Amino acid sequence: MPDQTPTRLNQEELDIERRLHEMVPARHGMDRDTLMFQAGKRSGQRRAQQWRALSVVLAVMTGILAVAGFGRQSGYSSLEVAETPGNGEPAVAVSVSEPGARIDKTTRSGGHWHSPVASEFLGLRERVLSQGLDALPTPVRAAPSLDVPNRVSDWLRQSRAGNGLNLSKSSHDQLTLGNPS
Amino acid sequence: MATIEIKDLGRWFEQESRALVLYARQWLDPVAAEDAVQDVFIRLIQEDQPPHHMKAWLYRAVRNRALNGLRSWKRRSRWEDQAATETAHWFESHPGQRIDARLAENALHRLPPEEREVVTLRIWGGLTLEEIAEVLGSSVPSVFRRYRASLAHIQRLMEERCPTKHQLA
Repeated sequence: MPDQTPTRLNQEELDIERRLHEMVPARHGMDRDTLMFQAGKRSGQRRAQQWRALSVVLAVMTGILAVAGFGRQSGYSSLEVAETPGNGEPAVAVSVSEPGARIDKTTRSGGHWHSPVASEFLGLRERVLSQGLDALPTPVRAAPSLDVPNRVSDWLRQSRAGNGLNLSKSSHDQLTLGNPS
Repeated sequence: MATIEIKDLGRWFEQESRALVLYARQWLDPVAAEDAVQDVFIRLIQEDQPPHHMKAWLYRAVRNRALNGLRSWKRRSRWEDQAATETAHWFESHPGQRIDARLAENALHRLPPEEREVVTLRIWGGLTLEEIAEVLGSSVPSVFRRYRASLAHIQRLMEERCPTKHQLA
């Protein structure tokens, strides 16, 4: 019986309402367990879809972060290029702080960027590998500076004069470095 | 996410499925009516939030689903054949009933659709007048007027089929 019976219904209407309410709707062919199974299955599918969507979002975010991290690693490196001292100027460290900054003091060799010193070395290496050891430059012996006192010669001279030390020419030559003054 | 629990779904199914099928059978044949009710319960489990007025939501959803199904059946020109060959009864017959089930069913069949809908929702659905108004998108006074009219109509139809003692005399 409906709980909220309109008060304006007359007795005759209430009676027909009561009699109709005694009738029970016919049984249906639906199975409760089948419906519960289908509902649970659909609910599980929905939750699976939500988890799948969440995984896709997380995968995309991970990919974006990985790409961003890689870009930062290659673009924002604290690369410092030490210029070779030339013309008496001190070595200057050029700090590259921005990814787009150009490095002027570099040369391209074999698809790679190198500093001038590295380029010279790599050029020499290539020449040696192709031509052999003859490609090596002749070592230049540094001439002794005249204004630097030859301390060994002075010492020998003092020793010879003071102690009467007699040294043969060969031993003198061996001990003397550079040209005796 | 607060969805409806499976056990609550089962409880609502046990309480309302018969009346919902009866409600859907105003427009659909027995099998289609059961399909419509089943679809509504499965749809209920997929709702993000449980409906505030569960009962009204169920009847409104069945109504929408039945009317959509009716449109598709009309497109296929099958509705008339289904209705003509329909043999399953709307109510169960019990010996102690003060009213004959077949007689009441016949009377309901002969009611105008809008009156039959109100009576079904009120008597077998157990909805309040406010809930019926919500389902039908109408006002409470309008629903009440229709309900009184339908009760009077049913009584008149049943008296036609069952002559009273005065008429017999």
